[in-house]
Amino acid sequence: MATSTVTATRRPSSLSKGWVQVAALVALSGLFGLVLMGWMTYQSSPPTPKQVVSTAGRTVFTGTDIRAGQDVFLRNGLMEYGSIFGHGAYLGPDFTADYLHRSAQGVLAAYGGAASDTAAQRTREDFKTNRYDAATGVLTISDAQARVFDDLTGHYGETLGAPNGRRGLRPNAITDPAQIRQLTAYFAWSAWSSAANRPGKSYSYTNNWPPEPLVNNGPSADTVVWSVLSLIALLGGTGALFAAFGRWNWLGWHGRETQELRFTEPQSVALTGSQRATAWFFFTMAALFVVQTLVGAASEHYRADLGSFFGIPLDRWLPYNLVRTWHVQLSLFWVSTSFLAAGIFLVPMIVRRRDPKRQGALAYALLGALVVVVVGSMVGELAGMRGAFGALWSWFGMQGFEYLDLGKFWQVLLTIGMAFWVVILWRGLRKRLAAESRANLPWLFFFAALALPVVYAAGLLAQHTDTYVVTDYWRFMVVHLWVEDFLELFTTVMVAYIFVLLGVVREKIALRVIFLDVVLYSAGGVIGTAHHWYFSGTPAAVLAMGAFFSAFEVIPLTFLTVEAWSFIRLGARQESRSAAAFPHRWAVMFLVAVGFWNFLGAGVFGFLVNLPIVSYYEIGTALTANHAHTAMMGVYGMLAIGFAMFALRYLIPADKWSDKLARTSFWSLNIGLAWMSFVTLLPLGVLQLYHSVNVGYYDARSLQFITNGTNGLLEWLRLPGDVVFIVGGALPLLWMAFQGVRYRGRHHDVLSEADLQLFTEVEAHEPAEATASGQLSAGPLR
Amino acid sequence: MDPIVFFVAAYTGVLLVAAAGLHRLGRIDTSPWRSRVLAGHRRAIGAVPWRERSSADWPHSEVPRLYTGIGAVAAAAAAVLPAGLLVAHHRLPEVAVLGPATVLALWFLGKLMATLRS
Repeated sequence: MATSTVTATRRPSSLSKGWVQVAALVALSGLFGLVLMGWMTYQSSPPTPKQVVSTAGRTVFTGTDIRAGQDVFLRNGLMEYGSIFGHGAYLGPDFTADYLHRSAQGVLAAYGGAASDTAAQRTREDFKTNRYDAATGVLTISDAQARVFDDLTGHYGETLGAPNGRRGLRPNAITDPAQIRQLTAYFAWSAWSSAANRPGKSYSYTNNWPPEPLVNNGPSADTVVWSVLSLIALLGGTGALFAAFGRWNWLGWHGRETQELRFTEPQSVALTGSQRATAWFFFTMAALFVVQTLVGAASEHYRADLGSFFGIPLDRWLPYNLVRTWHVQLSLFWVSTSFLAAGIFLVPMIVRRRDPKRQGALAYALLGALVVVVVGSMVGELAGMRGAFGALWSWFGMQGFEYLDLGKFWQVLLTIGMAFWVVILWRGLRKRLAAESRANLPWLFFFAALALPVVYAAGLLAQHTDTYVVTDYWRFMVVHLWVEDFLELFTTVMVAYIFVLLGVVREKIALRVIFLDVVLYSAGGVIGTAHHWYFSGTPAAVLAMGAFFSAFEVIPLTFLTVEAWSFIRLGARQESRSAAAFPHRWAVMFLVAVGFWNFLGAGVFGFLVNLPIVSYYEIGTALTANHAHTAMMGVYGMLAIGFAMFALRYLIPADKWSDKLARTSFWSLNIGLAWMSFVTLLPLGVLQLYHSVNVGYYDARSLQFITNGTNGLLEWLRLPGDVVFIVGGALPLLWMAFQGVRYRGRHHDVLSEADLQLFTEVEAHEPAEATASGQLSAGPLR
Repeated sequence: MDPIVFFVAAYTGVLLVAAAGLHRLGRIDTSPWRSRVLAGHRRAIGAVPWRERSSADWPHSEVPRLYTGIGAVAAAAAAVLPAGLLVAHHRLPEVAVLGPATVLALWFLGKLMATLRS
């Protein structure tokens, strides 16, 4: 009875049920595809043998060695130095390709050398023949391979435990012979699974990756065919979407064309306690951003000069794998901090009422917890790589999965922190939610926020004790699904809501954009997660699904770029009509930059490395870094700063606000990012890809190639852009965020709804309609 | 001649074409409202929403600066890369390839900078 009373008072959705049903159906289909691929991954992953014996009967290594080797690999941060199955960092070698190439050379030499066709043929057969006995769990390898294993154990002992450093790792990084042997066993197993044919198939567990002529590893039929079909999917999908857009006018873009708005002067908008608390969030965000750029510069320096940092032996204290770990972790931390703060900042504007009791204190508690997680995890990574924490290394030290480097304990705390953030939002929104249909903006805002801790929690299932491909499945729930899909969804909801609150876009249009976003990303992005798993040990069906559906990801990126422009122009229209100046010029400019980088960084550079046949030769090269930087910083970084600019415009008094600083930061960040891509990452990536196809993947990932004269020149030429990025882009942002902290208390408290209204309508030529808040007239405070 | 010389010269050309393209893009109205793709939509709503807009409206006014600005970064990169390579590759045939590429990029960069300043 009570439920029906509540339902009766809910404001109905302004969007038809069809949108909700289609979005739910497509989202469920996408998730079903993802679960199906997970099942296939568990069923078809490369086996870990109990024992690996030579044909002479000698036990070379065991399954326990392989698993222990994976632990050594992870806790020493080697995935942030080089890569395994193509996944990881870009300075060190890909250890799968490295072991495979070196062992194939050794076996070839044992069989008679490269000059002998018989030896070459015998070597290929030796590696391609799968002698794993599933019944006993015993893998038999040739005597030649067993001897090479011993030789390579020595090689990895010398390189990973080098006393003088100068390779990006700290001197004497791994010296324990037992650990070196276990590590070599892990590399040997990964190389075996990349060369030995799957039972009943003519390609290996990794779809023949890495390319290695010595063992007859070349692109499989699936790799080629699905690349072609992927291209067709892209072209067909883009054409179909634009045709439908033009024919049926899905979005029906038009704002409040006949109404004139007057934007409220930011200084006269009241701020609640929780909104004032976000000043500290944005300051923390900016500080973390500065630190991230500095450790990024340090990791870049290793590629330009391995020897020292302008005479300082940096590798003794801050080796490459540590600064790179911090660089990628901080990228998630500072962007997330901004998103959390923007959510808290927006709630009082949505509900137009005072904070619930202790809301501000809870916001400060969340910030404190976040700082503890950031500092704790970073210190843990530093100590963990140096052998601290004993058996608890994966809990408090370096868990070691790229982007999930933080210890499990910190990962759990971060998940709880995000759930706590959802509770804070819930407290603020509660009364408003009770009065709204679940298909309206307040609920979509809440659902999009709720999805963030839920999806991030999936990353907790990545266990160091699992086989690599299974850990990779769960890792990409965070790296792809959380970052590229659910953060994108939350972003769309936030931007749409901000524009509705500013009065420049109608709620119905904002709802259409959000549901269209859900449909498009569920159609491509969710199953498209598999484009990260082409070569990590999943079956060919996963490669096919990943290639085909990830091609569709580019379509919404293109489409949403167009859409973003329309959105922004609707705002511009009102800005030009309003008697009062539009206060969010620079927040919108950062959104313009998001549109640009979304298309170039995520769309063009992403698709450049997305086709299986391209990825086959380029994975782990500078082209991946090019996509990562232009998409992560270009899209999420610019968005995070755009949100900060939006809030800081209210937190900083008008006489202290500096358009000049905002402009300097905007241009410096964009120029620095463009310079980084155009001068270094893109040309370097193309050179590396060419070298990979022409000479070999192993060689293209070697330190000799990466540090050769031409590449070194390209790396050094990046320096001016990085300086502009840090000094002109990040530091002014930090100063502005500091001003926000300094002057956050100058606003008056909330007395009435009108105090939180961001615009007023001067003249209305059409019937009044519900805004996001559902209220047009200012009323007394409830 | 080292193939890298040809690569950098070709890449310089690609960057200059991209810079010119961005500069040109900044001079046209990129709004989907102007696009013929949306002609059906404009008919359907019985209006031309932007008919009375001039291209000086913000953020239209920023579009030329944004695109030309990014284009200028590409042109600067196009100048720096062959110039940097000349330090290591300065035999006559190499100078004959890299020199004009550098000069061309500098000339175009100057042109874009003049546009930005105006």
